[in-house]
Amino acid sequence: MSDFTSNFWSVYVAALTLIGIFACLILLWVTARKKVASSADNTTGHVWDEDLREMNNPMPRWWMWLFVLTIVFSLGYLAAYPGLGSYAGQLGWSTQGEYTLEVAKATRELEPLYARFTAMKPEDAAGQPEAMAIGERLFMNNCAQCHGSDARGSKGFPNLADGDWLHGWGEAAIVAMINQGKVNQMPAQADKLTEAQIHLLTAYVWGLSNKADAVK
Amino acid sequence: MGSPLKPSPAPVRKVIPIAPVPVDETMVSLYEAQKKIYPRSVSGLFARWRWGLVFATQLVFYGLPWLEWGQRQAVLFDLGARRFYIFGLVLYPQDFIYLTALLVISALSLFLFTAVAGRLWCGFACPQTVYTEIFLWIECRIEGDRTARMRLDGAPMSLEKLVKKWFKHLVWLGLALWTGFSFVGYFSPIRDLGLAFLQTRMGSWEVFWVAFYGLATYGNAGFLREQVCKYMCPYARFQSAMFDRDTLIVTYDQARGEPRGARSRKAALQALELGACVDCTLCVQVCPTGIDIRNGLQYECISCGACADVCDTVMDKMSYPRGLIRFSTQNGVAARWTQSQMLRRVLRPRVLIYSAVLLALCLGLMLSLVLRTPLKVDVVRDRAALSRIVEGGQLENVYRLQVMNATESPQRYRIMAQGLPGLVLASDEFVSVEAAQSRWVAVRLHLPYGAATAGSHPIHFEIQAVDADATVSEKSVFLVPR
Repeated sequence: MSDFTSNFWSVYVAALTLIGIFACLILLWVTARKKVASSADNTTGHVWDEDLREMNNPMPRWWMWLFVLTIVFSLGYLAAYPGLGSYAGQLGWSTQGEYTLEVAKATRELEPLYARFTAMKPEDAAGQPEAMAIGERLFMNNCAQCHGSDARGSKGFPNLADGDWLHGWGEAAIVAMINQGKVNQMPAQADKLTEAQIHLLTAYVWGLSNKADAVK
Repeated sequence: MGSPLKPSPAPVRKVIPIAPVPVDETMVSLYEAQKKIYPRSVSGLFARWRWGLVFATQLVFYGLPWLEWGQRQAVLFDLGARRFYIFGLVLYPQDFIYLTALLVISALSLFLFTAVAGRLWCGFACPQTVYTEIFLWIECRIEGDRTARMRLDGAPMSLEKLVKKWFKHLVWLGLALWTGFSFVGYFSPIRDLGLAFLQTRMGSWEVFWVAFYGLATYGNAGFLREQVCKYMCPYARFQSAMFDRDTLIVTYDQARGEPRGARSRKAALQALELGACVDCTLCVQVCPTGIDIRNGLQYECISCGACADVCDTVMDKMSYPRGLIRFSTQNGVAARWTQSQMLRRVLRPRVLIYSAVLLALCLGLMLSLVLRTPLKVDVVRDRAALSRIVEGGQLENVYRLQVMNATESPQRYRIMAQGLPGLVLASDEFVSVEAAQSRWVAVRLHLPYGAATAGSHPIHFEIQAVDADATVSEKSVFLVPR
């Protein structure tokens, strides 16, 4: 709601929500107290189309308590989570925070997996099927958009699989290129990928031009 | 054009007033306090059928996750890895159509059984009925039958009552949690799950679902019981809509039973001016939904036949013929048809149509499962470059193939591309895929420059298992730039 200059809409939404909940509560209270007429034969006493009679089949009372429960839940929810206009909720939960947590958790879980390969030189890691599978997935997510899913590039995007090294040869050159990118040509990846991920990407890219030693 | 329309005479409308019928009225609340039902235990033909189905369904439910098939669980729905194992079958999410077919078949079976024999599903096979039956049996063993339970509930709290109630709930909870455990065992290998439980290292979602499913079973079968059928179940309502006058229902033979009344067992029926109903109310006492079947067909009736069983025992004691309450049809009771006369009415159009559609679908599903190729391929064109020129004056297009191995052994596949003269595969011809795994491979196709006009040309990939009989053909296009 940060797009708005005043908090009118926030108050408007919050008020509508609370009025709605309150109206439900009043409706429940009224219907719980209301009495209706019922005939001795358990019909409502109404007759339609000459002989259609309506049976009186009331709801069980515990059902009403379920409704009350939903109201209690909604109030608790609105207090804890964002929902009332721009009020953020007592727990401070947000989708962005949730995403950050999930990424941090995934990174923690993947670290021991990566650790096995970060100790290896890229040319050794390129001989490990698992390392190459990780490298391939990283490549697909971060590099294939320009360099192509087979890493053979296209016009303006260098072919990484042909053994021609346009910007220096070997591990250091690959790592430097991924980290810093090239002005006006390739975005730097240092902030987007972890060191371990860049190491595995390097192994994968190294393996592309040295297929004989690398696992396919 | 333009001629004035003749005013049509006003339609004659019969006005039927909505008239309140003056009868003695009482004021009642919109919500009713629920009366607890204490069904009396019953034995007889339909009770035996019901217990047979309890055992049949629950042996499958509790037992299936423990079956092994080769190196793995026979039936396992691995949601994390998106693989669904059913005995020899390895299904991918792409096989979802089979689940659709299964659901359509289930729905049609429900239609068919309902048209023939009413709410058979409700009374005999529905989990709600089955678990209620089991929970009632436990309750009956611990607290006693109907009258003993009513007495116990009415009695003030005592040590005996406390012990009985606690014991009952503990047994219920134990069974309910075992049910939840079995349920989760279909999604998470049950032997590992059991081991994880013993070492108290179950995952939080596993704990949640065991508890959720378990407590739902406990609540549904222990407390809600018939109220699920009466107030919540949509099947109950739409099954009633599929009845006709030739549908088997539990009927009370009013012509034979009325006027009802108590009498001595020795009195001759003819001399009494009474019907066969001795008004013992046992049919009401055994009813799990608490209705009186003698009032005719009611929406609460789940067709379990408990009243028919208990009435037969009473008829036996009175030495009257059985079947005062029996499975029959409305037409059958009204016209006093014999069983074979009613059976003849089973073959009516709606039953025949349901059966024909159901049979066709079952055959179709079986055929498609038998003829299924244990290999799937998805072709996606590479998104980076439409087409490029490489050494030797060749045009190159890049594709990504997802090769899915639906067998339980590692496979080698051969990739071929056809559809344009001069089209050759420039990347590896063979690809290996681990058992029940899928793999993305980049595939490059070459076409000599000038071999085809500019534009998009349809081609197809053919992927063939090297050591097995499985071939899949997938369409794609080859782009030639201008």
